[in-house]
Amino acid sequence: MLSHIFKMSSKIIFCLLFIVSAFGGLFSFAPDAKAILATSSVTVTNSLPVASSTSIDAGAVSVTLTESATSTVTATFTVTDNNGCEDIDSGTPDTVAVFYRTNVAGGAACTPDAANCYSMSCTGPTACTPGGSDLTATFSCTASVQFYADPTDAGSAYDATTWTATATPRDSAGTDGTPNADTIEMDSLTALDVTSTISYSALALGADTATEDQPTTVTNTGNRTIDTQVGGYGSVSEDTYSMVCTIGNIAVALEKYSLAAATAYASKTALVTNATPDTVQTSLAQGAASTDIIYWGMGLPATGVGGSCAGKVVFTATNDS
Amino acid sequence: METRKLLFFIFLTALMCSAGSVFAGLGISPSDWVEKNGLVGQQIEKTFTLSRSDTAEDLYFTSKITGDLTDWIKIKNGDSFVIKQGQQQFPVNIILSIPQNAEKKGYKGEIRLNSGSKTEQTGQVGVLLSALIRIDLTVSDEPFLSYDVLQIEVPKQEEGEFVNVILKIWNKGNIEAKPTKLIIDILDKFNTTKIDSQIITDFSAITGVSSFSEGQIEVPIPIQLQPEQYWASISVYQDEKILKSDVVTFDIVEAGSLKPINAVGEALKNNTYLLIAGIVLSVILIFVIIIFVVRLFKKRKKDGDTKHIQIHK
Repeated sequence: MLSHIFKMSSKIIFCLLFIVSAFGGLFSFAPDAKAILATSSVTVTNSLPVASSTSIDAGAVSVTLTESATSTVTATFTVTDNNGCEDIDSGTPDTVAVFYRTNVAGGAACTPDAANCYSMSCTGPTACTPGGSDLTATFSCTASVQFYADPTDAGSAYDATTWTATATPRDSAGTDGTPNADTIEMDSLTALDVTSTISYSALALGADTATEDQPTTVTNTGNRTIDTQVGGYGSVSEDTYSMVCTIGNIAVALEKYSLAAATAYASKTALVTNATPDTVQTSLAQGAASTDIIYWGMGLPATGVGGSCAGKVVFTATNDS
Repeated sequence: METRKLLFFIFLTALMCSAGSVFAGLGISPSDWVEKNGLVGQQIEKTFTLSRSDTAEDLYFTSKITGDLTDWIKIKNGDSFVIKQGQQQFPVNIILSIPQNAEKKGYKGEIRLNSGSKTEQTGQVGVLLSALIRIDLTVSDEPFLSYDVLQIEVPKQEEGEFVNVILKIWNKGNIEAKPTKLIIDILDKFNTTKIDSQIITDFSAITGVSSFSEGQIEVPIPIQLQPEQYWASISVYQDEKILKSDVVTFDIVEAGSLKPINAVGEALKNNTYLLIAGIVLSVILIFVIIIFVVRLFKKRKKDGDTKHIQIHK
C-alpha cells in the first residue's frame, strides 16, 4: 500500500515538475518568440519593362491602303517586366505604340498627322499569369490609316524611308521602359473619284456649247500626286465616237475639255478614243480634300445625226511625273 | 428638203446627254511595276490591289494589255472579273513570263483594268473609271541579289531540341536569297545573364527563298536549353551588312508539351473523350476487383470458422 502511494506520489510530482518546467521554458523563451513574430519589410526596386518582338501586320511586306477610306494597321509586341507581368501597365500612363513615317520630325514622338504619324489604340496586357513567375504580357495595337498616308515604296516621294511602329512599355513607375520597333513599306495608292455629272443642254445641228461648261469634279482618293487620263467612246470601247445616236454617231473629237472655266469651245482640247487616252495635267496632290474640275463642251456635226445620244468618258488616275 | 431639216432640228433640240456619278472611286496599289533585273526564262508574279470605298454593288472589270509585253503577261484572275458587293479590296495577280529568247534590253507595257456596270444605261453618257498598271522591265543576264528580312522569330520549342530561328524574307532579286551570317546572344529570363552566344555562318544546308517572292527559312542554333523563358538578341547579315537586328523573347517547354512523345500519346491526345472514358472504366474495374477480393476473403474466413466449429463437435 505504502509503495503504491509512493509510486502515485512520484508520478504526480514528476508531472508537476514537467508542467512547471514547461511553463518556465515557455516564459523564459518568450522574448525569442517575440523576435520571430517581428514584421520584416523590404522595398523591391522597380525594374523597368522591356518591349520586344514587335511585328506590324504579322510581318507583311507592306501596307495596302483603300481609296477614300481608312485601313487598319496592327502592331503586336511583348512586354517583359522582372517585377512580374502584373506590374505592366499598373501605373499611369499606359504602354503606348506609335506608327509613323520613319523619317518624320520627332520620330516616335511625332505630332499626330494623318499623312505621317498615328497614335495607336492598344489592347493589353494579355497572356499574363499573376503570381510573380510570369514576367511577360502581350499587346495588340491598331491604327486606322488614311488613304493619303505617305507612300514609301519604289518611285514614291519617300522611297528612301519606311514606316515604323514603336512600342514603349510602362509599368507602375509610369516612366518609359525600353522601346522596341518594327518597320514596313507603305504602298502607293493611285486613285480617283469623279463625282460630278455631265449634262449637255439641247443642241442644234452644227452648233456647239461655246463657253458654257459642263463640269466634272475629280478627287484624288489615293496617296500619290495624280494626273487624270480621259478617253471616250460611243457604245463599244475604242469605237472612235463620243456618242452613238438614234440616227448616226458623233465623232469623239467633237467632245472637248479644258481645265479652265469658260474656255471657248474652239479652244478646248478635243477628246480622244479611250484606246489612247489623253493625260490631263491635274497634278492633284495627295490629301483629304484634293480636287480639280475638268470642264466639258460638245459640238454637233452639221448633218447626219439625230435623236437621243449616249456615250462614255473613261477617267483613269496616273502618277504625276 | 426643208421639212427634213426641220425634223433633224427638232430631234437635236431634244438631245440631252447626261452623265451621272455611276461609280464611286477606284484605286490601284501599287500602280507602277519596275523590274530592273529580269532573267531570261524567269517567271515573276506580283499582286496588285484594286480598292474602292463604296461597296454597294458588284463591279465588273475587263482588262487590256498593251505595249511590248502583251504576250508575256497573264492575269491569273482572267481577262474579266468581278469585285463582289461588300468587297473593298481585290487582289489582281499578274504573271510575267520572260521568254528564253528575250533580248536583253528594256521593255514597257501597260495593263488597263476598265470598270463597268453590268446593266448599261441608255440615253446617257456614262462616266467610267479604270485603273492603270505601268510595267517597266529590263531583261539582263546578271544575277542580282536583293532581299529584306521582314521578321525574326523564335517560336516556342521543347527542351532537347535545337533553338530554331525563323527568318521571314522578301526576295526582290532574281536569284535565291538567304543570309550569310547570323549572330545570336541568348540571355536568361531576366535579360541579365548571357547563357550562350553563337555565330552561324554555314547556311549550305538551308534552302533559300526563291527569286521575286516571299518566304521563310529556319536556322537551327546548336544549343539545347532547359524549360524556361529566354531572351535572344539576333542580328542577320549579308556579308558584313546587317539586314535586320531584333530582340525577342522565347519559351522552352518540357518535352511532350507541344507534341506527344510517342504514337500512343498522340492517339490519346487526339482522342480526349476516349481517354476520359478509359480512365472511368479503369476506376470501375479496380473497384469491382477490390469488392471481389474482399468478398472472397470473407467467404474463406467464414469457411474456416465453420470447419473450426465442426472440429469442436
